[in-house]
Parts: sequence; C-alpha cells; structure tokens
Amino acid sequence: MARQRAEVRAGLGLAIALAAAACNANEPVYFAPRGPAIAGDPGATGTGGAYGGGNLATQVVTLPFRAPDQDERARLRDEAQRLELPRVAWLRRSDVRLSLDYTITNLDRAPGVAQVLVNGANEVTRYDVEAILAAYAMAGTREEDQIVLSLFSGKPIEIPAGATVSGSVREDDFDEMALDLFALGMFNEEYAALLINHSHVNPKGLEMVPRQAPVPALYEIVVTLVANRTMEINFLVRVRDQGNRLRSGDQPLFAPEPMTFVPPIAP
Amino acid sequence: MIRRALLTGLTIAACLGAAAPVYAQVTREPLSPHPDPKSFARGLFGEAEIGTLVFLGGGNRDLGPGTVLGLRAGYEIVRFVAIQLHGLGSTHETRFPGRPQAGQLLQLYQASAELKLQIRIRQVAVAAMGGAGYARLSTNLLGTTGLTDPDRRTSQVLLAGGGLDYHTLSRHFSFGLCGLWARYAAIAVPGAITATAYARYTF
Repeated sequence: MARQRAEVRAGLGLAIALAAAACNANEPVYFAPRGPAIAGDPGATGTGGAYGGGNLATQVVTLPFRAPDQDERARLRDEAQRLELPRVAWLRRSDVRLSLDYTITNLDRAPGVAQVLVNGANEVTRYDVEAILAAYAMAGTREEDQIVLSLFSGKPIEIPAGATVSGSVREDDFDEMALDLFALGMFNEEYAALLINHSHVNPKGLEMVPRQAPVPALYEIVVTLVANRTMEINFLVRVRDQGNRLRSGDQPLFAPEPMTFVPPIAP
Repeated sequence: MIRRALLTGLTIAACLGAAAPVYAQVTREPLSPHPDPKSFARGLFGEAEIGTLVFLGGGNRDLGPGTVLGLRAGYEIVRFVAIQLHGLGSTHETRFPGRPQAGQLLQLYQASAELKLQIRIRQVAVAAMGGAGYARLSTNLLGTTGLTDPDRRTSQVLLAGGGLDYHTLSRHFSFGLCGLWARYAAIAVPGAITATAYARYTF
C-alpha cells in the first residue's frame, strides 16, 4: 500500500514536471515597435533614390537581452581560446530564434506596390543602409553606381487601395541574415555577392568564415517599408529564446556597441 | 434404426412427464429499482475533463475558441459539499483582423480552488460551484495588443458555474457535464465560458 502511494506520488510529480517543462519549452516572446510606420506620410523618414524613388518608413526594435554573468563570460573566453578565435558571440542564432510577422495597409485611394526590407545589428556589426549611402556620398559615387542592398529584401507586393496584406520573415530568413552579417563583419570583400546569394545555394563570400564559429544572432532589427503610395506597416518580432538570453526582472541589460559596416568603395 | 429412435423418444417423453413441477422460492425482499446514493463511494475524488473555452464579447473577436483539457482533485466533506483543486489548459488561435498578431497560437493555463455544492437524486446530481485562482498566458502576445498590460502574463481569475453528474452505479465511477464562467482581472475581455465533459473516480 505504502509502495503504491509512493508510486502515485512519483507519477504525479513527474506529470507536473513534464507539464511545466512543456509549458516553457517553446513559448515565444513578442516585441512590437512603438507604433506603425507610415511610408508616404509627411512625417515619414524620407524618400530613397536608391530604392527606386519610393517612400520610406523605418521602425527599429531593440531586443532586451541580458548580459552574461561572470561564469558565462569565463566560458565564452574559454570557448574562444579553444576555437582559436578572437571572440565568440554571447547571442547566437542557435539560441535566439527570430521571426517577424507584418501587415501592410494601403491608405491611399489608388493601388500601390510595397516592399519590406530588414536590416539590423548583431553584437559585433551593425548593418545600416543610411551609413552605406553616406559612405557613397562621401566617396562621391554617382547614385546609379551605388549598390545598396538590405540583409533581407521581400518581394514587391501589389496592394489594392484600402486593402491590408500580411506576411512573415521566417526563422530561416533570419538565420541567413545572421550568417551574412557575421561574414560581413569579418570579411567584407564579397559584399554584394554575399547578400544576393543564399548560403545554401551559393556560399559565395562565406569561404573565409570559420565553420566552427558560433554565428551571432541579431539583437537590433530595423524594418523598412518602401512604398509608392501612402502605406502603413505594423509588425511584431517573435523570439524563441531557447538559450535563456532574454532579460527578465532586474538582470543587467546586454548593451553591445557594434561597429557599423561600410562596404569597400572604389574611389 | 427407426425402432431405436422411437424407443429413445418414448423414454424422454416418460422422463419429462414424470418430473415434479418447479416453483420459484422467494427468500428475501426484492431489490429496489432505485439506487441508494449512500452506497456510492464518497470522499477523495479525481476528475479528468475535456471541452472548449470560448471568450465572450470582444475577446471572441480577437481570440478563437480553444480545446480544454483539465484535471480536478477534491474531497467531499459531506455528501453535498466538496472542496476541489482544478487545473486546466486551453489552446487558442488569435484572430486580430488586419494585425500582425493574427494567426498565433496562445495557451491559457488556470489553477483554482473551488467549492462545490451538490444535490444528488438517485443517479443524477446537480451541482453549483465557484472559486478563485490564477491564470497564466503562455506568451506576452496580448500585451502587444492592449488586451493586457505589456509583458503581463498572469491574472487572477474568478470562476462560477454548475454541473450535472450521472453515476454509473459501479460505486466509484460517474460522468458529467460542467459549465464555468471565468472572469480574468488582468485580461480586458468580459470573460470566458468553459464547457467540459468529465469522467470522475471517487476513491
């Protein structure tokens, strides 16, 4: 009888533990920008000749990750030594799974075309299109000779007047962005080839990237809407925090200072 | 051959004719056709339930109905009063028309303590119950829509409802239907209705 009770208690404990684990295993956390971005609105961020003359609107979401503690810093140092790398990333794409869901509403009375671009920063490198445009301007490069690519460029979408469409930037898209940005931060020679090609199809530009190096995840996500009419984008960043990296409570915030990427510009 | 068959037939007919008549003999009172609830098991019990949870009002526009799985464990203090602990979980698909929050999956977990009053008439019992507890959302999604405060995932919950129980006469087992109205303090919806069917075992 006592043995039976003990077995029942053990079974109940196991069931509760399994249920708790199941509840926490894959729960995403969502981050929204402060508000919608409206392209074509007089208060929008501007127009971009490099984007084909479309109206632009940009919103940034900076994800609140926690800083590593003393033990974790020591482990990162050990890992870098073992892999013979100058440093290894704290936020890794294998630990932080990102995706993005958006809706675009055409606020105009005429149909229009919209495109979603995603850029951002990892803890080492920031990919800022404005900085690239500024570098071209400093070098005196003609507008038609400028190559301005985003880490992710969605397909142009036709949107009827007053209609709303929805879309996603999937986890594998963010994986590709993370890998490209990692490569750009280390070796920036193959800038255009790296961004144009998908790494699974053509790994051009990735030859110098050490295979064993952990790929850093993006912690700052910059979403740009390019539209030829007045349009509004609402989006949501979805984080599956598999490595327990998101900050909670009063944990210290991870605040890296990444270098801004500038492509090699021929004089 | 025919002669042997004839002889066998005559022998059987003679035996049957010679047998004494049989009369039924009543040795005790006949069983009552109505079951006695006092013979049903009483005390510690457990329930497993399955059903649906539907949000009310604006909540129904933004959150789809969900499948509910739940467990109850309780104790009948007297035959018509029980206290019970109740845990349930439900899964919902978000709607939020025209917003990026649409089409996401969301789980709602609840744990509550409840008081149950019931009247049993033969095999059927009618119950009323109420309780309070905590609910937890699996994600912070509702915080991005204004239905909860940002990053709020927990809420106090008040429950009230009733049920109908049918006893199988096997002493320990009964089945039933239960309906509960829930009011969440931290979720800006008028409430939710849970309707479940359950199986119960009383130890």
